Amino acid sequence: MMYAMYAFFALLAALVLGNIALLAAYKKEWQFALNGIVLLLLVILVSYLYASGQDSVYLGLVSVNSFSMFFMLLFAIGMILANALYYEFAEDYCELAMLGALMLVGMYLVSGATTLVTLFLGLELVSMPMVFSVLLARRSLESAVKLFIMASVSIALFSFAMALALGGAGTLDLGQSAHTYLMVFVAIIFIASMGFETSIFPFNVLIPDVYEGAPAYLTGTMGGMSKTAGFAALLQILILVFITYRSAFLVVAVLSVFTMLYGNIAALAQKNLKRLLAYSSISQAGYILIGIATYAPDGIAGALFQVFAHAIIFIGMFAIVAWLETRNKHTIDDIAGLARENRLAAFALTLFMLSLIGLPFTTGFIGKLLIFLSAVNNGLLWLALLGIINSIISIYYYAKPIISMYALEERKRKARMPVRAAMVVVFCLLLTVAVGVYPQPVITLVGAAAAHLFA
Amino acid sequence: MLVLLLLVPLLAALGAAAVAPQGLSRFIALAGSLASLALLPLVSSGTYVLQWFSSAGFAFGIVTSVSQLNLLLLAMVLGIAPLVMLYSFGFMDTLSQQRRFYAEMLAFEAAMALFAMSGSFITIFIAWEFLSLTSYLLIGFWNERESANAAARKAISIVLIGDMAMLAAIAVMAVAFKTLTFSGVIAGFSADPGAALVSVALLAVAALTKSAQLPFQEWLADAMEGPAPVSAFLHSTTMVKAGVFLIMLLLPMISGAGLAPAISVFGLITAAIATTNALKERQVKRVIAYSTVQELGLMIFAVASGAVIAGVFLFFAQSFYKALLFFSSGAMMKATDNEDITQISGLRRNRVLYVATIFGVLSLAGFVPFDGFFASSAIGSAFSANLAYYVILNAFGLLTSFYIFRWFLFTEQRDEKARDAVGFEAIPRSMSYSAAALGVATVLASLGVLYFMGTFRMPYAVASNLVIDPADAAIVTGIAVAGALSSYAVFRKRVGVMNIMANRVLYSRWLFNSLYRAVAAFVLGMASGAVMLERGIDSAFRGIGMSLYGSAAFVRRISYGEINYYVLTLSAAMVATVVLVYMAR
Repeated sequence: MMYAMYAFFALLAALVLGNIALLAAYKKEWQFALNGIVLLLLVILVSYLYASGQDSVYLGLVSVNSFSMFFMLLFAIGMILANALYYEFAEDYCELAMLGALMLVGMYLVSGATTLVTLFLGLELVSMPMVFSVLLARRSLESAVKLFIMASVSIALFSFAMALALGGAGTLDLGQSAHTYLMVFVAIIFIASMGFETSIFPFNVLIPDVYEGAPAYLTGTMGGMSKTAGFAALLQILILVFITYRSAFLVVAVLSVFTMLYGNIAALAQKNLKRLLAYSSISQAGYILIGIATYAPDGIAGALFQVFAHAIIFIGMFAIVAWLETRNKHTIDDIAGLARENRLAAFALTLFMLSLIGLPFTTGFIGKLLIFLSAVNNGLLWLALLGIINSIISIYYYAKPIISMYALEERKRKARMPVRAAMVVVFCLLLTVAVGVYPQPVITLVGAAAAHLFA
Repeated sequence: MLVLLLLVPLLAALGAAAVAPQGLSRFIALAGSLASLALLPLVSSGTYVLQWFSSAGFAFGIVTSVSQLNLLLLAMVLGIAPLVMLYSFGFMDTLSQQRRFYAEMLAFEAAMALFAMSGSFITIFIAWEFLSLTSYLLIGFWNERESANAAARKAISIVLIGDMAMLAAIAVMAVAFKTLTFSGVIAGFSADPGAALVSVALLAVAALTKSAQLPFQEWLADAMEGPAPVSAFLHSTTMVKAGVFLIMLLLPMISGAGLAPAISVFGLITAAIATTNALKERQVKRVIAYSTVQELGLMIFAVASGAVIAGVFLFFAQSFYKALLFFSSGAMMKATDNEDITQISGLRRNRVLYVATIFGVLSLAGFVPFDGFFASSAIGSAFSANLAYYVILNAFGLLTSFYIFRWFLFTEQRDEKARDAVGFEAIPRSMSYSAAALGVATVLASLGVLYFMGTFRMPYAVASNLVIDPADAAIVTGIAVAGALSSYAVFRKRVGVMNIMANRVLYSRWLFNSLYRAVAAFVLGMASGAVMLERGIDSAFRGIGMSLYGSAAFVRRISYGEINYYVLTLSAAMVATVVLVYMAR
């Protein structure tokens, strides 16, 4: 059992060191192979660690348990998909893969953190490599600078909150902190700090700009994975440290309303596809916050399910958008008649959007169902109703691109999607539908993860 | 046999039709719908739960329930479907569209079958969502037409309001009653009257949207942009009845929450508006669509006022002649390439279609021995104790007979244009014979009255049985004849159709001068009132949309791309959040 854990850390180390070493050789193919193999091994090992019910703390800093392993499973799978997209679309695959490996370590630190220091380190490791990744794409300088400033503000806030927590509680251990009055303010600063990564209103005003400015293959990683890591951090902080302050959860509820409204209403006016998806991602964060605001295992489980659904859907969608970008198609008008050019892309994009609306037998439906039911179950009926109203609004902006894709345009020539991107899309599509039809394994997974938070 | 197995042939056919060569998909669709119908007699009644997933102690399952009411709807859906598919053989003759058409039709049929057999709110919601989606696709089937796209958008916009209302109701009920099966909710709703009221109100909104009732009636007439088989299937027999069906299922709960009178009034007002619309309408399919809205309103009125079995009988009987009238409308449009009843002529050139259409018209108007007559009489008898309702219902009967004969008299007459004649003679057999089959069905369905008087039972106890008083039957007949005769006098005897064709204005002026000018002025006034009401509702919807877009423009201004502005927002937001915490404490 212990060996499996060591193997897990060894794999993480191998991933980072291997990438750094191969960066010197600058052999794209080798590095892709290395990443693929190590990440696959990681997926297998993480599944094993999860299945074996491992629950242990290592060095008093990081832990391996059902919560962190759920996230690691998602991150490792997501990183494989991200690597495929980088390899397909990016000019600087080698650098991006190395930065991606660092990000993965950061994501593990975030989801497995047992102290605030680990969490801090993890958040830095998640956000800074992303800044450099965006910087690598030369056109995206503005986007990178914006990302950098917001990340620095976020990290500065985090350290400020940490200092207050240390002063107030005398320890940096998650779960050990005393529940003093000061800690409520610390909670607020933490929420603000992580509101950036998780795109909570009003800390998210930058997100659409960054999404639009960055190349789409990175946007997928941002929306699908950095955000997921942000939620892991937010959950750790909120649940473990501030368990006695119900008012902190009321704040989350209010923020979720604004986040949903902001994302949905702003999305109505968007013409650029990436901005549209950015706002839709914001509104999804709002739904996830509903689950968190319930402050109950079933609500958190629903939120985690939605995090999972959101990550897979957004990686798949941005794979398509990245391909469209290479063909210089950016707006909703540009994708008119996409169904004629490439059936898979149009069908997948439609299904992803329908899933975000909440079509039955897709993951989006199960996630929303779990979240809304848990909200009502825990006395937040008003929040559930607001969520449902927001779902109505969302239909209008998803309908626009869907209709436009299937509208009959003048005869267009078929266009082939690069095979790796197509594989990513198909994988995400299958996962979205398969888990939507048979959600029990994932529900068990998120249920255990949520239960661990409350243990 | 497990009722869910009925879906298997449909889904298999759906898969096959989606990949089959264009020409083959129609045979697959027909075979799939026939196979599903063939399995129907094997279905065993009772409730069955297929576990789906469970979370936090709450188990979700696909619950099916088979009662006589469920079987009735199932039989209607699965019975009409093969005929619609057969009709489409002739109607959808553009090869390149066939695969998509039949795949969408099969998907719709599967969703409707799931709806008809569902035994819990989760199951019905899933079916309900798929109905919305597939109907959207089918209404907008001819997506090269902008009007079809607009109609599809309008339909989905309105129907989705209902979807979300239902989801909200489910959330409320799951918590208040701890169960989501129909039987469980109906048994337990009295424990929490507040939750019952909220959820029933939300469910009523859902039902009213789907069945195109006030104030959501807007979408159905526009939905006539879809192909005729779609109108015949979705907008007469199946989907629009989903809302009525829901009200029938949940009647004990609706009455318990005290909402039944309100809902019955909604039905009555919708019926009145739709009747006046049908009187004025000139588009051949829209007349039938308004007539459908009217009859749906009457069903809701009857069921919610306690005449449950009579309402169910109308629910059953109406399917056949309404689908038939849509069939012949589609054939007319195909034959003459025209949609205006005043421009269409020559229906009698096609004997089979002509006779079938007469059957449909007589049935809707309320002539013996067609099922429409029995349904009208049953509803009349149920309300014979209440003079006001009785008069209103018979007035509807008179106007119905009037407008449907108007529709018929225009279209059937001898034509001067040889082109149309050729068109009618060229109508494919599959179309005219499937219409004829429905013509036979509308007579045979009269026998259904015996079933509804005898062995038919609702899932819950109802106060009154189905009765048909000979006196009411006589009045219904008299009124049908009066409507037909007055229509004949107005539209055939007095003035040539050519005049009306030549000048629209003449129509109203002539009406004004006619023997019936008082009635006509009243009707036109009502109709324009209805139109104004509709406009009001329409602009209200548009207003909501515009205000959303307006605020969108504002929100957009917030994030216009300057970094110092972001940091400022962030700081302001933090201050606001801290204030919020103070207030929350």
